[in-house]
Amino acid sequence: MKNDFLDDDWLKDELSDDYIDDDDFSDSVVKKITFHERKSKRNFYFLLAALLTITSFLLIPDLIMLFTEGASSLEGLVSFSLFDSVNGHKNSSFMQMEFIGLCVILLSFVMIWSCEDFDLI
Amino acid sequence: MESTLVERVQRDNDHLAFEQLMRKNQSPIRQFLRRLTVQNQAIADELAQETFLKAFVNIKTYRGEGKFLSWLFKIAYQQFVSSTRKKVEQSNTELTDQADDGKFEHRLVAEKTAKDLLKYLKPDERAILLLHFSHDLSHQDIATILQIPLGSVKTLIRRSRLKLQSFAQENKSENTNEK
Repeated sequence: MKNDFLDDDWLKDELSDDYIDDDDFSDSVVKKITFHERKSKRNFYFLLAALLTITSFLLIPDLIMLFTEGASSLEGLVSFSLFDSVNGHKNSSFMQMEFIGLCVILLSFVMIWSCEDFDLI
Repeated sequence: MESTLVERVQRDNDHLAFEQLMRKNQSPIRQFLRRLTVQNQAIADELAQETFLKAFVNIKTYRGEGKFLSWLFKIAYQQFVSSTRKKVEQSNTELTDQADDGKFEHRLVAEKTAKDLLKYLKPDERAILLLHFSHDLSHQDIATILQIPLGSVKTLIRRSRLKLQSFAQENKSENTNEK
């Protein structure tokens, strides 16, 4: 072995490698990218679904009550529905509203999963 | 051409454009990682895949300053360093790095080429020689990739090649003594 490590051209020649190219590598990376994108979208959907659920659970009955029964103040209604949710004292109209609320939540889930399936986001 | 592809990925998350960028740049990145991991092809290719995945995810942070390949080299080197660190933490011994601060024992009898001797260098010494001689990068690019001061690049290149030379000389004298 010629020891000429201070010669740039010789060292360049010694350290160079053959060109590497294969489709399998690119395909694997593209698969990883697709998987990563799905995974990050999924986290977004879970967050969105959680936000929707909490918002719906807290606000929908109150809003429905506000628009249908013409309640005097939103503040009173919020405390009423929260109190009812915690203590389980529900009248029939309130149960109905909760049912509508649940339907809205369900529809939201359906919408979110459709978005994922059809890759709309 | 390359900048157009980068723009397409940045703007539209274009997988096809990224695939073209990958085809163009995979060879130097994989060669570099194979040499860094001392020819452990499986680990090197795994790191290369992680490098391209990270590049895709963070492509918006690439502002077009410097070559795209240099930016990829920087990610690849960071991937290598963090994987080595993880392994050291797991096993408490360096698996891929056989460097031993220049203590060169009687191990070189079978080593023939400069490439073979590279494994006895520290990872940063190995990286700097590869980036400078094998991939022809400028001192500025190397400083950015290895995150070292520009002034240290020249010194580190010289120190590494001298170390490599001393290993080769010891190898030669070992062989002569054996005969």
